[in-house]
Amino acid sequence: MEMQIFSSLSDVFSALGIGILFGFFLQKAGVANFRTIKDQLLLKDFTVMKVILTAIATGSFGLFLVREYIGSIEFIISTTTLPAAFFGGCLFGVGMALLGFCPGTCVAALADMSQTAIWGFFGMIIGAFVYSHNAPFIVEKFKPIDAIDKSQITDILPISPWFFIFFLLLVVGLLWSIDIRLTKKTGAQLNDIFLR
Amino acid sequence: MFKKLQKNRWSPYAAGLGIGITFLLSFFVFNRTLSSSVGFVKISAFLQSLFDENALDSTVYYKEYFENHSWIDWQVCILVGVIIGSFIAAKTSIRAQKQERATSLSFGSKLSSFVGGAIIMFAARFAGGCTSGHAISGGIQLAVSGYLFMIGVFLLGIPSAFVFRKFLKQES
Repeated sequence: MEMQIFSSLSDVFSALGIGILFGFFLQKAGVANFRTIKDQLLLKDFTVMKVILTAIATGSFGLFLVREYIGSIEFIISTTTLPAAFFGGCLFGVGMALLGFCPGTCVAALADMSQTAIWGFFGMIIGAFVYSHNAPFIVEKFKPIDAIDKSQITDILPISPWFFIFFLLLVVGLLWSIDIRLTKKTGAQLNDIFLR
Repeated sequence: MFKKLQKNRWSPYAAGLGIGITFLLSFFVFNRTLSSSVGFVKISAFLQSLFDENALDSTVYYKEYFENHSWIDWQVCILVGVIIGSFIAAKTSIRAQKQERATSLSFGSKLSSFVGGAIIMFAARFAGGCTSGHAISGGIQLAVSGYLFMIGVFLLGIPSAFVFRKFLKQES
């Protein structure tokens, strides 16, 4: 196969832009540090959960707002089966407990020259290599085309997307109010909550 | 206000909001979702092709990801962007984040990080995405697979973390 070096320049620059924003927020969230992620799995610090839940709640709110008032959208959902997503997630959790990073945060931590991230990064390349060379077998066994499932919560539960989104927002609001209360108790200023 | 933005660590809610908005930008402006793990397939393919000219043609899975026939594409540039963005965030902070000491890693820690990384990426490709692709991008689109992935991560990740802390005596 003949390979070019660059795909279209617009692709390159737009991806760089999105990546820069993504990396910026990952670093500011404190998840470019493996301790934050390990402490989440050890249930000592819930930063990771808060970041993910807030991102999902605000993202889905915006996404479905556009769908509701501006026009239909085409969802871009991973081509996978539900068992593969679940058991892959389980295995992913084991690896995350071992390394303290996921792929995105590991790359973000490379900017800090984190030794852990550098060794994790090498490991990830090997992981991608091993998967790539066993893919036909795995796909045939675990991800047959007719079992690919791109269904959404609203397909399997008799609820409107808004019900679920407001539930997410409620959870985030609840977590936030607990944080505010805890901060008040310890005497920190209220306006420090949003940008601690 | 500006001083506060320069804090080395923001509230998780502020950072989460930023990631949500980044997703929306990516989705509506470029018709793409956030992803981190796919770029690694390309890096693996590139390294292999340095040693084996036929690597791309002989590996079916590589071919699937190389429709656009280019090395430096959206997926890889996302990763480069993440490094740059993370670097900017760290360097523009008032107080640099406390870094791990550069030479403090024992052989055991290096090995466990390496093995952890390999497991993570194999699992991510098996699942069809990682925290970015499944948990965040899938979660935002209310994809069932995204939520199942996330449940799996915490279901096995939490007990594993306790086991590893006990038996590996990880320096953290």
